[in-house]
Amino acid sequence: MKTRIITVLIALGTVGQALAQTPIVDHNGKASFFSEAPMENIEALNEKVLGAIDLDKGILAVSMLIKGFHFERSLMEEHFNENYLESDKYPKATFKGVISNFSELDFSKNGSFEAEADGEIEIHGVKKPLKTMVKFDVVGSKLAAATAFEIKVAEFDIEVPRLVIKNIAEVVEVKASFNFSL
Amino acid sequence: MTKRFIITSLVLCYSLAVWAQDDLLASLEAEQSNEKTMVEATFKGTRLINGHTIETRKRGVMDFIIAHRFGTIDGGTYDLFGLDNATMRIGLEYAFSDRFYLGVGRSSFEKTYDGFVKYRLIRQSKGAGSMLFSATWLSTIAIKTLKDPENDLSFSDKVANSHQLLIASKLSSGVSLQLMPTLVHRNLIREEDENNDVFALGVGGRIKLSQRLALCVEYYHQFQKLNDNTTDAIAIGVDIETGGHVFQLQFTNATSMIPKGFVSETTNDFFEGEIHFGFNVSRTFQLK
Repeated sequence: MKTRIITVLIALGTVGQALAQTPIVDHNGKASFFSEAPMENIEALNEKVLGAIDLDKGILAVSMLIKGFHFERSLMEEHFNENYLESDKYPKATFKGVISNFSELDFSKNGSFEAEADGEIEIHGVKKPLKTMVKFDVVGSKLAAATAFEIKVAEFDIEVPRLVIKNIAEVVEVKASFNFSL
Repeated sequence: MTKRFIITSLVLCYSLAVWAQDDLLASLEAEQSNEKTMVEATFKGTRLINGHTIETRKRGVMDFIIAHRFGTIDGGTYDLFGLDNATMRIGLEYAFSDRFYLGVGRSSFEKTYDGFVKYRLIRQSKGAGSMLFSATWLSTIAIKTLKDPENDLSFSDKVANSHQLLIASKLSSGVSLQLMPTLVHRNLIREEDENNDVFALGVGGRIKLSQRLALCVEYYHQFQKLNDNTTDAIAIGVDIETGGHVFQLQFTNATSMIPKGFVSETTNDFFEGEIHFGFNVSRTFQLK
């Protein structure tokens, strides 16, 4: 009995150590979105996005503050926070997931390759599964990652009043990019 | 024994891999949890109802404000609850920075020109080094140009100043409160008046009824009045926001739309039905 407990503890310790490898983090990742509607195009950029990759296990995580998005027009920014994303209640947007073809990828050599990220995105307190292609570029000790995908505003319980329906697109194009040091 | 060990390890590895995703995200989120963020939009606009809020527009934004106060509603159907009479103010305002805001206006009531300087001293924030409230300084000058043939008045005789420290806190996303200690100074007062200086304390707030609709109240209590006939200004209204416009509809016993007027020259009794219906319409333009 005692030996069994010890074995389990050793097993736990081994796995724990493997997990303890620090993931690489980019503190100045960029995320932007673009809404194209008949009345106006709306664009916003967040340059303080946190992104992390664990290259041992092939897992990804992204977190950003909604208030970090900046618009050309300050009133749009206020409405984005106050009326649409409700950043007081839901201050962050996040993504967590795995690289599903991780075993086929080699991050140790220079080159560029595509990976599929499979996970869960959370915006406005609503969680949705998300699959997106991520383009990786390895140059020396630098790893660049970039992705683009579309989200439907309505799926995230973001209410657009009929009055401004021509100002805000139903489907918004999202882009994100990160630069990591290996 | 060996079999059991393998199964135990596999189960452990699997559950740890799932936790790992959450852990990785949690570690990122923990980094952001204490980041300082400014509390925005304590109020929808730069006016609570009659008076100012702590808000200014962002740098490079011009705000064009038209405000109307109709006659008192106790006139009944004869003058359609006051709609036959109206006084108005038009104003043009500009934000030179996120803190520094200037405006000029002209009221039809007593043909008064006014100008103001507004500066955001303290901004409410969350996270590291957070601040529980916002404070804004407001100084206004008003020049009455209504002809007064009986008196020979110099320029300075026609001038009144007011100074306010506006202190507000957004208690939650839907509720904001504001306090407004106020001083109004007149260079010249009439014979029936008693005090050149009027001291008042305003209290006000808003409750959001929906994303674009809010209920506002505003009350200025005078501690030292201009004369015994003046009353305290009371106002209740709603804010309706549609894109670049803010519409404010209100009921108030005040006729004037500038601080020296509504704080110290109001003579109507709100509870006797001497109430004006009115509105403010604000339209912003991003110039820079």
